[in-house]
Amino acid sequence: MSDTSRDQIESRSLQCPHFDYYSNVDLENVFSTTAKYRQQHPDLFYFTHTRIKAYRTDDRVEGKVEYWEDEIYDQFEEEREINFVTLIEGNTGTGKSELCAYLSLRLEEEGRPVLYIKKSDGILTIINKRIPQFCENHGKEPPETTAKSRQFEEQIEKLPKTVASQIAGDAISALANYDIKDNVDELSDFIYERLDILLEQSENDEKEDEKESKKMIDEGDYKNNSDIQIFNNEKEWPPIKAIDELNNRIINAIEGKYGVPPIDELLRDVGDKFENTRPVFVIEDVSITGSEADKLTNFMEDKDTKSNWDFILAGTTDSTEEFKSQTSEARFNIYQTTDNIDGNQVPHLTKEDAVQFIRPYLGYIKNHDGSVSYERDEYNKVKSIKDPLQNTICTTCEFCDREFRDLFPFNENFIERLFESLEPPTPRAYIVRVSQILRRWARGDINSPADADVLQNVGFNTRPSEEVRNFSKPLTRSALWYGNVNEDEGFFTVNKKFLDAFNIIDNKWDLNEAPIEVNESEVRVPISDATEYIQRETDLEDSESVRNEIQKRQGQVHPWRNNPTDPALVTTDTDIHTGARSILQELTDDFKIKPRAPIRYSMGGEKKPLSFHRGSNPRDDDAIREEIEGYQLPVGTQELSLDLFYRFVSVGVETRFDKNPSHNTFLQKFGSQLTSYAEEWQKNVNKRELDPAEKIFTNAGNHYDLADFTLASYGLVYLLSNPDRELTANNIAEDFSNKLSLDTDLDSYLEEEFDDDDYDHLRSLMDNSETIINLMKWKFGVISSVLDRQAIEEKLAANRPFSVLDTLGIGAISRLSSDVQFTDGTSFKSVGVDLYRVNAALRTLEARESSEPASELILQSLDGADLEEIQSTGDIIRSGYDDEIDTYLYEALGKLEQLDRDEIEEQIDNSRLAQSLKDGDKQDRIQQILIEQQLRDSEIYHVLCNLDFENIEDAEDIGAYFLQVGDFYVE
Amino acid sequence: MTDTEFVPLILNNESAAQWEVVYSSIQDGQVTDDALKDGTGLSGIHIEEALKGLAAMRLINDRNEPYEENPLIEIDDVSDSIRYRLTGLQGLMDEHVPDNWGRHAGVLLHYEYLVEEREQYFRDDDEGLWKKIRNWEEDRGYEPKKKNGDNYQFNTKKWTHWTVIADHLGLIRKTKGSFYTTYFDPEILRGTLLWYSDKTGTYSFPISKYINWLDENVVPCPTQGNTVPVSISHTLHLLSRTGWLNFVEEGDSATASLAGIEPSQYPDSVNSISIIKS
Repeated sequence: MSDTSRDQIESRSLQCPHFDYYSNVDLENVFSTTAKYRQQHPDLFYFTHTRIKAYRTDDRVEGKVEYWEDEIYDQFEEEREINFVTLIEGNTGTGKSELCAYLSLRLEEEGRPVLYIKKSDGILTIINKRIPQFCENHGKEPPETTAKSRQFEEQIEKLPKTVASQIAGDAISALANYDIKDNVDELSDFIYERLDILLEQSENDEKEDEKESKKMIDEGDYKNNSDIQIFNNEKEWPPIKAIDELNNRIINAIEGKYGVPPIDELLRDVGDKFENTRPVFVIEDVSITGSEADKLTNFMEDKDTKSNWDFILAGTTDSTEEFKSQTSEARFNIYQTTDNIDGNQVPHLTKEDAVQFIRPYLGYIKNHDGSVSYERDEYNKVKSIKDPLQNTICTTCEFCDREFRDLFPFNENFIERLFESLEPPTPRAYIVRVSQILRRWARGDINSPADADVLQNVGFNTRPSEEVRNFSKPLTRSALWYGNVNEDEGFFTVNKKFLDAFNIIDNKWDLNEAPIEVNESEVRVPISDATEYIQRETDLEDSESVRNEIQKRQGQVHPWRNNPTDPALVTTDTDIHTGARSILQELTDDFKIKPRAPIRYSMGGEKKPLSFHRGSNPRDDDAIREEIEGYQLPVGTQELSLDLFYRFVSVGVETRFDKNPSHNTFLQKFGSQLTSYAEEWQKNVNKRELDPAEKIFTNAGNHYDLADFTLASYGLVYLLSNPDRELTANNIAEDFSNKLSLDTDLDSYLEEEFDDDDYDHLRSLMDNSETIINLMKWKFGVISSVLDRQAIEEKLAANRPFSVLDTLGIGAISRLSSDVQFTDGTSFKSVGVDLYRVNAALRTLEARESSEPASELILQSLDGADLEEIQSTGDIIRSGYDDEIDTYLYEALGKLEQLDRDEIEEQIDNSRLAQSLKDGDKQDRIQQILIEQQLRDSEIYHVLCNLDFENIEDAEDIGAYFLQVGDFYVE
Repeated sequence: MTDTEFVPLILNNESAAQWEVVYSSIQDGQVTDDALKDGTGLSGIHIEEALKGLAAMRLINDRNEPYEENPLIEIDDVSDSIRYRLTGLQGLMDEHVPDNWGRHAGVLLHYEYLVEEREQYFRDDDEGLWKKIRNWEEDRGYEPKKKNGDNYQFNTKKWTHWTVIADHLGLIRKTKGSFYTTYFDPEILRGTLLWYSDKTGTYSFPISKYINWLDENVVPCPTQGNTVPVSISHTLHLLSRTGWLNFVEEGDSATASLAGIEPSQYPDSVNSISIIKS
């Protein structure tokens, strides 16, 4: 396995292992369209970011001047002593938010405190929540006025009616100069109903970002409620103006009555708390209006008093207008995100760059281990994909072609067609759609992305021929979405890899008869003669014949129930079994032996998991047990209702007609009942096909279970990867996220010592270490890569891994069905055989091992010696007595000095461990042999062996000898 | 300290297995955050969440160090793991009081909706379903509040997290992809039968009394007359067809029926369950 910055947390059994490193929530987050999430994850942000170029238009430049985003960032100087304002204007979808996010991320990285205001935050949320939170986050006391806001909240809770009436009264009094109705009571009632808005608290939910800010009175409220339309002169007070005015008066009333501070005072107060840095106030999509906007503008422009805020405000020209004054063009840096802001909007994303745009989002998932990275252009847009780094998942897997390696499970055709099907094709809709399909596929809800329900209404001008459509729906969909259209020749060509990845080619197909041409790398699918625009597959005639067939078979269910072996009912019998199989497959997640298990029973295309027999309960009928296969659960025809059998037969017929029936509605009604059969089938398969007492261990009776097998397998692989680590629960748990691979020195040693066949089993076992890791996660996993230490400890204490391995029975394992498989298709049996053979080979090695233990020499020579002193003694000896020194000693000193002291100490520790194991049980002795081999390959051992002891006096204890000699020379 | 947070529905990860691990560690004497971190290898956040979950299920007394576990219900021949779940369900049942719902009543109310409305197959991100459930719960007066008095807000993520908890407690079962079925775990139901058997001192007992007891002590079982609801009947049927219990007629208690089970599968005048002693 390759280096990666992430842990594997899933076992999804998808073609691409990268998806095992992301939970479903992670996948959703990668495609998060909200700036907030991307900003919190700079690596994701920069990977998917397109550089923005904007046009500066304020009075301090001549005309329009192009600025790259980093040049805009450079304008933020730490040394200013007055407020500094950057205003970003642009139409929807032209990159305002992206630029805002970029600037705030850069400023945050530089250590600036950034107060980021979301679109959904109204002025009261800013004052009552965001600013106090901001202070707390940066270790500053919240402004004193926060206490007043809190008192206000308490009053709202205790005396809501009084508060509402006071606010209404004050707001209306403040409007007394205008021609208004004295509707205090009505306004008070209205405010009372909406007081909760003032207390709104973010639930930390990303969807929050998508909400518009809530105002006390919005347009709908105002238009539908004549009681609050208090302005008599409607011409002078159109709704929008009236709403702004009323909202502002309400806020002013709150500020006045309850001492909730106005925003300018609050910002000044907060700014003063930051003495050594300039805080940044970012509003991504401004929605502050009226008098609050005026106050903010005045504060931003204030150059008379010392103030230290940097402001970034983005919005459409309408909304930014609120913040411009007569002088602002001269004081603010104003940028537009498009050259001509008033002209027709240039679409941000076109069909031509749709694929390049999505590449980094999909590529990001495969970037953590260096599998996918890109050559970029000056906008940071993807130009081309680079070759994967060595030892990455992509280099190990080698499944994908270069052009879709980052896009998998999609290809360019798919992405282009998907983009074209969007209406309107905004970047947000595009990302959301790709993410939806990707997640459905990653979760296993659909086999192929082309099966996603959101795609089924998309129309195509060219489609596969009717014969193909009848032959296989999944193949039809693959051609439509993945295929290259070759109109001249009259076929789609589909890269066969996609068909393999999504199991579309059914091994039941007779390819000589099929209406398609399959060769090694591609499948040719004939195009329909009729060029038509098809809204969706209707196949009326086809549906009619399926309906008739279902009716016919359902009519035979009743007689079948009484005599399921009647030769006249054989088709009905097959359909019922096929239908039951299809539903059981759904409920067991493709025949897993337990929910979430990494093991399944491979049922091929024909096997019937439920075997129906006449009567009410055939389970104890020995004759039936004899007759059926181990993977079959016998079920009585009287156990289930007619309704269920009607549905089974209908699913069976639909499957026969390649209809891909959906079980959702049916399982709504029968899910609980059929789950009890799914579970019973799983228990039956476990007992009959995987019972440890019968199928894995010999001479162990019922003593050992699958957890013992798991821990023993893992223990062996762990030891081969980490020979010098003791096999304890803590070590296993601590090292669990490290990869397992055979220690290089051991590899060559074991290759020499094992016979060829055993060595092949060893390689195969190590290659399958991922499946053993998955077993560990299943049996002992808690969350992510954390294991249940207590459970492991108890198991280790009860059953030592090598004692468990010794009871593996090759006869029993050989009788295991090859259909018991790990979810990646490796058979359980083959892993069992590997374990058996490697264990047996190690046992033989242990019995014949006679080499001199390296640990003894190392300990004898160096244990207890002070290495630092030895090496400094060497210096003294050499500097003073160079010509007197013994040549052999001189050479020894030279070699010893070159060795890393930590390494020497580690080898001494390992030697001690080896010695402590030598009188232990078989497991200990095998570990000792592995450590001894490692030590034999160590440099220190080589140095010690090559010393010419015979020519050095008293060389038995070289450590003591060095010291002794040192003392002599120094004196 | 009572738990003032509405915890179980805002579990922030995709597993609840760490709850049980933390409970065992506390049983084992690791009663502080540091000891738990060292002993389990879990992060502080995961431990905190586990403690919240355990407190909500009343498996620990409170969330103050040193943590003190409440003992598991004693049932002969039932594993710790099953007794942990049964004790947790009983703790949640204490919150499940109509007209006086505890903060965490939502855990079992969500389940009760599925049972009562016969929702048997659903996705862990089914927005329509959790909204229906919330309306149903609001009609029953269950409106959990936050500390500041605001109504607690539900969303799809919280529904996903509920499925993790319900799966952990054996109320629902994962199938393919993001789908679950409403299905009571047979091992846990077997635990309840042995528990009831221990309590009553007999291996045979009237079905109706057992179901009423289950409804009061372990999990909501809305019955209609003497009919065992499908949430329980199919698991009971599984235990019967695999030879662990018999449906019998015994004594003079009222005849029961098992919703969704073919009449051929039990005697006409069945009224009792008889555990087959192994």
